[in-house]
Amino acid sequence: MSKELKVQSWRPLEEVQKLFRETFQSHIFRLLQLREKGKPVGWFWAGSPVELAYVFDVANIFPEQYTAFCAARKKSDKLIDAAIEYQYGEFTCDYLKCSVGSILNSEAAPLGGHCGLKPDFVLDSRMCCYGHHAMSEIFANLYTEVKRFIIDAPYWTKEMVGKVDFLTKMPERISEEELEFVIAQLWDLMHFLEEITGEKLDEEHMKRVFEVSEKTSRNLIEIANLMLSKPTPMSQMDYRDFPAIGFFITAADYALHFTEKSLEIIKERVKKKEGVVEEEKLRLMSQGIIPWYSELYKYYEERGVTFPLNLYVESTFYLIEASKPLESLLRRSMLPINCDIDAWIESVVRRAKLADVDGAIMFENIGCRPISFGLRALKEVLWQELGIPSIIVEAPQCDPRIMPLERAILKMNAFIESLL
Amino acid sequence: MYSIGIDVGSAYTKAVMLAAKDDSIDLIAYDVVPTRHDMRKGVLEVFEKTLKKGGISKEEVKGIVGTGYGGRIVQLELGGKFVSEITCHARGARYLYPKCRGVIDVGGQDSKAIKLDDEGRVISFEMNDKCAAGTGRFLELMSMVLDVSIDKLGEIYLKTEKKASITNTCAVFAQTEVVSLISQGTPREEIIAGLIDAFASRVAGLAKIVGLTKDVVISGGVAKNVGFVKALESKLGCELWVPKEPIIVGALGAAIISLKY
Amino acid sequence: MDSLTDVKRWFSKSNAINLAKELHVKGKKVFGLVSWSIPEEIVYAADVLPFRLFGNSYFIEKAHMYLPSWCCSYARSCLEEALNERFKWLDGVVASKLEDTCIALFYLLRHIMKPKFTYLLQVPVIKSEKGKEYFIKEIMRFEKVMEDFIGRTIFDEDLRRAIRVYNENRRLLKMIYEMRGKGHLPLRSAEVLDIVTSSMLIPKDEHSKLIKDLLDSVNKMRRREESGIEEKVRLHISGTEVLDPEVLQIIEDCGAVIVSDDLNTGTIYFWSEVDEKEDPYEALAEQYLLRGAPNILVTRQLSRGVDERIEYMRSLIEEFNAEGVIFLIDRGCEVLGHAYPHLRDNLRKLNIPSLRLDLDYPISREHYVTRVRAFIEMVRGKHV
Repeated sequence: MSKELKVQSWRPLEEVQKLFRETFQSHIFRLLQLREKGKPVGWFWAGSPVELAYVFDVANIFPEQYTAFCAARKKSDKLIDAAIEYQYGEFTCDYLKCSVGSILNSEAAPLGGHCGLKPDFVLDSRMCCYGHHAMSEIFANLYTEVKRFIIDAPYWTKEMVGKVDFLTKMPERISEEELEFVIAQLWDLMHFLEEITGEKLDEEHMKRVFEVSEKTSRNLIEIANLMLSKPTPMSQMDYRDFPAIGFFITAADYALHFTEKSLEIIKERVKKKEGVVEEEKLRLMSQGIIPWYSELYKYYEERGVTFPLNLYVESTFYLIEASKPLESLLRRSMLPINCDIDAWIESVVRRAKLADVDGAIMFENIGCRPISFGLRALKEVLWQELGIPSIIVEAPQCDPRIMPLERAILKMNAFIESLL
Repeated sequence: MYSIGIDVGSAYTKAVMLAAKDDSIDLIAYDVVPTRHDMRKGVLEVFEKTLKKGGISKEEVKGIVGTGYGGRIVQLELGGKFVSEITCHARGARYLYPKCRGVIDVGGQDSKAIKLDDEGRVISFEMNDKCAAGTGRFLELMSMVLDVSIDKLGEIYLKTEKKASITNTCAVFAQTEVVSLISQGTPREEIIAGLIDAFASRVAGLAKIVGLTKDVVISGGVAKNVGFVKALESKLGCELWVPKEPIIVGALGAAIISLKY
Repeated sequence: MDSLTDVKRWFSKSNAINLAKELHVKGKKVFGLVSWSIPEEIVYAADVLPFRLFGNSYFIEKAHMYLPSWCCSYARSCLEEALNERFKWLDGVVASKLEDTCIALFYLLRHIMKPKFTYLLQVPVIKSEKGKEYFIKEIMRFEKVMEDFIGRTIFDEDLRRAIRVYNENRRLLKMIYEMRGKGHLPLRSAEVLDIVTSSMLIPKDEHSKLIKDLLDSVNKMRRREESGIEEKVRLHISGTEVLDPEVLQIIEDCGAVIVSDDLNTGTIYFWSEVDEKEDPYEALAEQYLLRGAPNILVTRQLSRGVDERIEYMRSLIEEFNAEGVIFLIDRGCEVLGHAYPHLRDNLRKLNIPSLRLDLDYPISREHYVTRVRAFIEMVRGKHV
């Protein structure tokens, strides 16, 4: 590089990491407790009505989170190979290949495979993408005894919702037909959960669950906003733990605790104007699912390139409203990949301006169509609206073999050089 | 009566001559020549050579079957029938090992796994795709990158305990990985062992798809690579039957089939 | 009456496209459709021509700007056409939300072509009464948006007529398949594919006329010597959008005859009819969601979509005495990327042999011939 980026001392938030480990342990503890009580295990997808797992006290497993965990521990390649050997498409989502691999080759999978716990039911959701629906069908084929309950939501067009805030997933409006269709299905789902748990819906309990979820979700939003500060207060290596909270467990007490404590720590850093590195050289936006196995972010942060705005992480945050529980569940489907780009692009542009980013790195998650097929159009808009350039790096979220760190760095360096 | 089977592969053209008398079939002669750019020449060459070795004249040959990528050239040049290499390999393997229930053939350009029923009929098969991973070409490329004679690879594998981890079986990506391992100072032997392991995994994948579990014959030139066979055996958890001349199994099958015509 | 060769030419893709363009020049509005799962009858009833978008070229150059190489060739080739300005003349683009690729393609086409009319139809993924109710409302909303665009009301009678016209075409296409299955059709399957795909490009009533002319000229011919068909292996083809007749040609050249399929460019498109007696909106929702050929993307609550599809395949295989199945799978196809292993396993349970061929363009003939020949030999169980 012509202007060399010197390695600086890197300052991850070890306390946040420690808190996250504890949160994860609390979650596992909850699962074990529920299992002991004979509660059913349900598999849930991102963007689906995840609060209901807490409303009905079912053990909630998230295949996506489990596979991200496998990838981060470099245990994903054998699982992916098992799925391809079984002849699932090479270009299907990594989350599919890994979770199915953990069923087909459970010996090679962490935590005994089967995404951690075999399901009693699968919540099939088309609230985020077609892939989730198709994967649920696969689980129903591999576990023939397992009940698969489908919930469908529209692809939100601008005509239906007007503008949608990228971070809070608050739309200007929700068209009547869609509201009615999804809410009716949510009631059906609750009846299904009543049946499978053998317990009636406890409205008081539901209220409390949503109150926790709202508080957690507000904390996450505040954290996302603090991230835009200068210098960038937190490393992406820490921030990457937050989607697991936002997507899946906002309703858990331990998640609330985690976000409260993390928020305090980050606030403190922002107050002190302390960043992930001493001297920030460049600020980048990041889009696409994080390649969980990669240390790419760390490599660049150590060299003064920080990431104040991570669109993927923000897409996993919501504003949950305890006063409108069903509508909040419905809005889980308003994540950007299930919404017209014209509905949310304005809020992204606004946030990019606030974050004052110099450029964007986009991960093309091979196998993930909604993200990857939209990148190039987003790249055009960012250039036109903000004059910021982007680079696309092919990196499926779980398969470390496609884009080894060295190759990604080779590609990134040329881009970074052009920004300095 | 005499019959000849000719298997025109991407690397070699093979011919086998059989004599059938009453109920017995005897292998009279066989020959292997490199496949030429002009496939016809290779076909005629191997045909002549096999006739000569068997001491038989052209007129005495009653049946001819061509197989392999250039199998149709045989039909054009010498007449007879064209039968797919899957059927021919199955037939050849079954002749050599009457109890075999599966065949893995690793050729220069493709590899295949074939499952047979009790009667020796093909019940399913899989072939690898249009890429070099899992074919003889992969080992050839890697031996070039590592500057080791391809014949030595197997022995090196057997002698090397530690295997470098090669995560990619795509020939292009694997090459990048090999280069980076070399630059990291990984011993060449370990890289070779790692490559053979990765290669065997890929072929084992094919065998798993069709469900080969035991009584499996391995054919094709790569079957002579003792290291590869060992690696594949451990991946599949079963012993593989290696014919004395694994490269002529397809041509042998073609010759057996040609006895019918 | 023209000779059979001339008749066959009418169904060629280029001829069908030219016909659609001629109508457009004469003032007819034309909407490009990105999926087969859109109730076209509504479009037809509005006197707009539903024109299924197909790519023409498999040599992708410009589409790489927007879609990566692992995207299915259908979407990439469609986008390539749009970038080459070959869809510029269209008045609108309509897609369905069922598939993620389809949604992405819809937004890219909107971004590139900027057509006057666009609509993303919300087809539910769930087969249920609630799904149907919602779908009826969605069909009506689509109709309303279209009425606003064309500036006139679509009456029930328009819709009923459209349903009748479509049903007639479905019956005729079915007849073609039945004749082929019996060996009474002097056409190769590649030509039959042209007949089906051309029906997605030109007005259905005109297409029906063409089929009738074709059948006339077939009937006038001296009864075809049915040599060959008995000796050939009868195959069923499974897949999604198969557009290239060459693949089918190669399969039949290897000594097979294709007798049935469950392709989106085959029976899935036309096999069952819309109920003409019911309320038209309800009948359309029934057809496209519940009753029609099983859409692998749409599932009944607490059951498996693959089971329904397998049952559909099994019934066709039985009806047409197919001896084996060839799957034609685009490497980028998300739908079959998920479903294939389970379709394969279920066929195995039924003792139906199957072969998977990866569709990758440009077609490599040798690659297919080796596999198909081996498969045919396997199905025949010869040489043993």
